Amino acid sequence: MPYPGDLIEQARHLAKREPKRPRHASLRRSVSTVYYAIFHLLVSEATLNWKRADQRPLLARFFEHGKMRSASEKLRADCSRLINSKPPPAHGAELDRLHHLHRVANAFFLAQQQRHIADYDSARTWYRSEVLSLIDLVELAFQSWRDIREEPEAQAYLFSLLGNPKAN
Amino acid sequence: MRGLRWSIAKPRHRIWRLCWPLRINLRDNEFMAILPYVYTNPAQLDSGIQRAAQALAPDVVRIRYNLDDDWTGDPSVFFRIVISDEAVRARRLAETAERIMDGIGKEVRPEELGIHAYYNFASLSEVTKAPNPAWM
Repeated sequence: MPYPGDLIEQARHLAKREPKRPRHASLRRSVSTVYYAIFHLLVSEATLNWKRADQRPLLARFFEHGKMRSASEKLRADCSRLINSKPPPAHGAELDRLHHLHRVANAFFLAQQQRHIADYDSARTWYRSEVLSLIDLVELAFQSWRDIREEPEAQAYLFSLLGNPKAN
Repeated sequence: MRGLRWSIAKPRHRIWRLCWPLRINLRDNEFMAILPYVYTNPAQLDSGIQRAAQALAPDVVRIRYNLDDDWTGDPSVFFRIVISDEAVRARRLAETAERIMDGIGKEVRPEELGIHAYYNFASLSEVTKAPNPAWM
């Protein structure tokens, strides 16, 4: 999946474009770009499950930001509750999967809100380290995704991004 | 939901539209504003943040926050965390950020307060060089 990875690289390029005094336009576009990196990662992974490759781009258009946010918010809360439960879950593959899933859902959730601020709140000022930390979080989420992408829980998350079938 | 409390108020006038950041429910032509308890009584939040800041020092220099709606209108807390330059240099930034989010999450438990948590991180040198009152 070269495209989402390229967006991360582009986001980092924008964040570091002006070595001394970063322009706000660069930082804002960087935040927006890194959100779309993780957005397209998840959408492209989800549509890979569709057998007919020629229909995947059309299927991708059915994913909505708000529904993806709701699914990610629920997953990160569920993972967090399990990770911090008492007694805590035993160390092992299951706990690792929970951490990876939490990381991916959390990065999506945070990046989406930041992207909204970056694109629509003109009063907001940004520090470069703010933007770089977000890029790093998304990049780490990409690595986590590679580790769990075939797991049933990860695939269930992809499916949930389409929204709740019982909702209006 | 355990640990979740709500404050309820009925605005008298149509000025309810300006009653940000309240959530509005419509029923029987009346307007009822509902907001998480923490919006009107942030003491629980403050003490949790204080504990988190102490536990995460010296990597965390200070934690500032504000309560606001997120882009979907959900009540949220927006953390602004100033981290030391040593912490930025010593480890990968994302790992530092994750450790801090985890630490704050455990102390504050925003989901039990009925709010979403969002985190922003900036290095001390940047904040010092270009001061922004929201981060000071």
